[in-house]
Amino acid sequence: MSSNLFKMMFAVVAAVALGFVCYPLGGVIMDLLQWRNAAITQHRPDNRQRDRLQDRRLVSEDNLPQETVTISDDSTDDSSADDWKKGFDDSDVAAADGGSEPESSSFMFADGDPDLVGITEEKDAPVVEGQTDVVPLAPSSGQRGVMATSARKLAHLLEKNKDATPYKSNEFSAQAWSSPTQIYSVVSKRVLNKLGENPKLEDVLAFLSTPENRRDIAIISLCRKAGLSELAEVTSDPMGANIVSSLASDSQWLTDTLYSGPTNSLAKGLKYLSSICANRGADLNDPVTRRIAITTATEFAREGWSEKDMLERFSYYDSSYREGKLNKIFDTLDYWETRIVTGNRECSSWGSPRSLAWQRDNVRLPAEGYLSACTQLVYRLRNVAGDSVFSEDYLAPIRAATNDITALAYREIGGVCGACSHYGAYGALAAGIPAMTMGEPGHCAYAVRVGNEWKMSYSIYWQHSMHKTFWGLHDWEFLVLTQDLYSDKYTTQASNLIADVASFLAARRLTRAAFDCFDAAVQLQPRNWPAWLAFAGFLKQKGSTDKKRWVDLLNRITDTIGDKYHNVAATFEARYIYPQVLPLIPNLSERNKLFAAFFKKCESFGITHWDINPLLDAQFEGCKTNEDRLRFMRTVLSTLISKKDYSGAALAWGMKAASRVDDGNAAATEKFQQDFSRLLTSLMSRMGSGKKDMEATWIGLGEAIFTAGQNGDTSTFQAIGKIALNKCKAKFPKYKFKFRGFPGKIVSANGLITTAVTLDEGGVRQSCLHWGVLQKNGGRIPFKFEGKNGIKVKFDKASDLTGLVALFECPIAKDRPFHLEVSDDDQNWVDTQVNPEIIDKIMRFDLKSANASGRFVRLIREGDKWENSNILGFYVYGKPQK
Amino acid sequence: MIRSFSLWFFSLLLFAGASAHAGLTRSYSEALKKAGDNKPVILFCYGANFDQVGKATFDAIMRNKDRAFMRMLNKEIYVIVPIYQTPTEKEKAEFNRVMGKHGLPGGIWSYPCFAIVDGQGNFRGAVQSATEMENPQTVQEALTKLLDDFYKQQKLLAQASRTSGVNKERLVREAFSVTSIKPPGHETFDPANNGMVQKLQLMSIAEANRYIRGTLAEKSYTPIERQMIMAAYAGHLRRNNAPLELLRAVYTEMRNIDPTSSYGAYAEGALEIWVDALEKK
Repeated sequence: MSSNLFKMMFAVVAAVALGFVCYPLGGVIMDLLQWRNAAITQHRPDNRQRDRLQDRRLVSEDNLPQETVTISDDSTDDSSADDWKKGFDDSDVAAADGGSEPESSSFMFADGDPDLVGITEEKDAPVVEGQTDVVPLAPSSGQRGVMATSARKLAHLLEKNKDATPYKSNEFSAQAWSSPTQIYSVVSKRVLNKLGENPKLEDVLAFLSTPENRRDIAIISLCRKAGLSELAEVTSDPMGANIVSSLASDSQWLTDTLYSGPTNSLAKGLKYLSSICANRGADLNDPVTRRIAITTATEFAREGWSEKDMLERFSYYDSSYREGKLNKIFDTLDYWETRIVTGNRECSSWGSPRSLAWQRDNVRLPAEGYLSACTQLVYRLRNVAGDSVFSEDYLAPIRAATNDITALAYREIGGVCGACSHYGAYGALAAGIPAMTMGEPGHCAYAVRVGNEWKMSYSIYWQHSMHKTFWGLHDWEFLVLTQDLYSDKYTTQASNLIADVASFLAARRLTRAAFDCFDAAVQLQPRNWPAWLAFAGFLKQKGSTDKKRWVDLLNRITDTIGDKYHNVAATFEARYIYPQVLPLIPNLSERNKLFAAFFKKCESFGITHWDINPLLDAQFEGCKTNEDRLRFMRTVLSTLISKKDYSGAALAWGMKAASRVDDGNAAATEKFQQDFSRLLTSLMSRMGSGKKDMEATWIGLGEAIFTAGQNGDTSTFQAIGKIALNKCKAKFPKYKFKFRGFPGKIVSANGLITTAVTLDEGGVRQSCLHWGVLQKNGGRIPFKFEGKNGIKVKFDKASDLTGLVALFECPIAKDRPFHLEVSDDDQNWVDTQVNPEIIDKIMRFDLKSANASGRFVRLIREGDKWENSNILGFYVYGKPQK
Repeated sequence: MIRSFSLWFFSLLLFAGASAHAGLTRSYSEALKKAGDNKPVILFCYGANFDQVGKATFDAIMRNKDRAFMRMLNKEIYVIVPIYQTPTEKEKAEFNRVMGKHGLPGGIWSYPCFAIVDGQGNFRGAVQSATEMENPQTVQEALTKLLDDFYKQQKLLAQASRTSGVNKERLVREAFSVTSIKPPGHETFDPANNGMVQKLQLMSIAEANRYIRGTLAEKSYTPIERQMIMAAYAGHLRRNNAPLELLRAVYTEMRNIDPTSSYGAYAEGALEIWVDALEKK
């Protein structure tokens, strides 16, 4: 006890003395006080132990004199460095998606002699018979709570010191950076010395409590993320060496660069930064110029955009800021937010300096004003000269007069959703406000950040594919996650630091410590998507067949991320956990239990409507027999059909998934399809029809029938339509049409009708009315006639046709001719050459002399024009062929 | 900073309110009342808390030493509207004090700007592009033109309301040709969205010519509307490989209606790429 006390006192005194010599006093004392308790408990090996340990680990240093500055290119560290980025890259789990081997393997065994490295690190790993590649037992929830509390102290410390002068050290000159390998060795050695032989989480946290240690970890991360050989290439240029030296000397600069978003192509980013200084004379000591320069350089490198465009983008924002032309929001943006602004896309059109400058000066609005800026453009599919927006002729004559300014050209001529949304989003971006465009099915919308909240504009559908992402995941929820993650600045920084230590330890086979650090990093900041990925990558490498670990990870994702971000949790599980864990669970009931846990936690869509297809697909993937598939379908559909948000989407998924099943045995496949059809009908029949449930049932059936229509599945379309009429009768109109029919029966009544209109969310939910259009009391289907796209009906059987009656909601305009075509195969179409009789809202095609027959008919119209109306009844008469 | 700016702003209001007869009006409703049927209301809208340009413009225009601009402005009824970004309660109250229950008129695209509305609050034009707003002189020039056009158009419409038949038609036509913005109650014509382009698709060149000439003679259009109709016609000719001489004649006619407008520029561009370039080949 007294010995420990003595050691503690010695450690504290030594650290304080060091602090006096090297660093600003205040911050260090605060750091030390904060971590005094942790220092008391930590066990440190003596110097001789440490030396032995590092001698074993840092093999490349063995043959080097202490002061050596250069290392030959074929050294062990260097060769391994080439693979570093492939392993625990923060962009993805390379290991999890079948990428190259993570760094630790290549690092540890690069010279082919595993004995060269210390292997005692894994002594605490449980021994499982027949299995050597395992990770230690996961901490209990109680232990995790303690770990999180300790980790949270680090976040508090970072926040407490936020206004302190950033730690700076000129330890490594620009000349020294000509050999990043040497610097990496020196810093790694120092870090290992300080962490000790067998570090515990508390040792790591104590270590991270001082700014100089955090700087060391950041330098290690800089080397690992950029890659040593790539970094050497950057520093071979004097400007590059100066920049890397300045970057590594300033802890704030390091933090801003490394922990404010993804760091893919970091070395290229540093080259770009060097180019900004060389070509634009940027003064990186100015905080705003530095922010603009670093974010532009890193984003353009990450996106793989050109240096020329990057320099132009930098100049635009730097000069706009200096001239006071940006919105004041830009002044206080953090690095990650600035990356969204300076890293905007479309470098040669909407994002070109001239277009941005024009919008900056001519669309100057408060942030919320950009949400309606899209309306400054007239919506025109064809311009006033009749040229399509998709043709080059649309803007061609105005380009010269508008000086090739994209935004101005569209404002003069008009555009469709794409131009309107870009105009709104780039108006905000030009003013320095985070914004981005987003794709929706058949539509383009955009989002602007107002305050700390992302707001959608011009959106018509629930599916949003964001055009700017940090992790290549385009769903809206990932944007919300990104916002929440980085807004929680200090917790995220602490989590990132711990995760970086974890990766460093993992590379040295300090498995227990690495595991605990990863665990603590995600426990502290469950929104830390890259940390989860790194954790999963680590687990895959160290315990790929350890079912318990994967199940534990799955449950933690559901419990933590899934608490708010349902789609994020689902994505992680479907992409990174199911492929690992499902092969380890052959029992379907056990698997279903796991799946059910997710939907128990995520009862509703959560933040926003999301696509459950990938999750269900991944679960379904685990079923290898038709029997299993049907059992799975029964379980999942009967569970989800009772949940308001999921019912329609689940039914639609079931139909799509079932239609894809084909195990090569035609009879077995057909039986499966029939069984599934019965299951579906039975499940849908159980949906509620009372006042309370009718709306949910209507929506669910609407989404399902829409999918059936898209699949061309006539029997399901009909089955759902009939169930809908039975369950939701009040939703159907009761028109009493009066018109003259044709001989024969209405062959379309048992068919399937589709429209060329891209339906929005509300439209999809009303899709049962499409079925109604084929029935005697009518329904409603919106129409659009563009070239060969119009209204199409597929019959149950090929038929000889005698006529068609179409009942429109509004009087039918006669400005463009209609054509009725027939087809046997939906590919080859024949015009019936019959002119319709049009009286007010009724259109009749008399086909008695036309000799028209086929399985499909389509009603089309010459030219194109936006027509906002509906068809209420569509009746094709004839006789089904035998 | 915002507080000191507000104090300064209020003192300026008081100063302006006290000077001469002062067209500056404290609220939009009051200004509309004052304007009645024939006078315009000028809204000076500027970003009060979100960029330096708003404040710089305010300083340059409202506090400039050359009082010519203020003299011009003071002859009119005007309101100063501070536009706030994510306003505080106090800022909301300030905005509401000026605008009351009224919204800003449509047609404003950017701040700072000078927008003109009639006594009923209908948008009748704005000085808002970066070029127009560059300095007090450019603003004064553009605003003077806008006001002149407004008065001219109002006068013609007033005359038209007192007459009938051909005379009325002539006066309305003249009123419409003054600016590209139609007075309230007259729907804007857009050949792309009203079916004209589709109708033309089915016509021969001769039919199209008759149809366009008939349309132009039938009603009153603003210059830009006439140019758009010509654009629809020319587009149809171009896609149907009409002789280049005919295309040149139509685009030239279109340009000459108003060479300074966007469709004047469009016609000029069309002449270059679709007539001159092809002739050279």
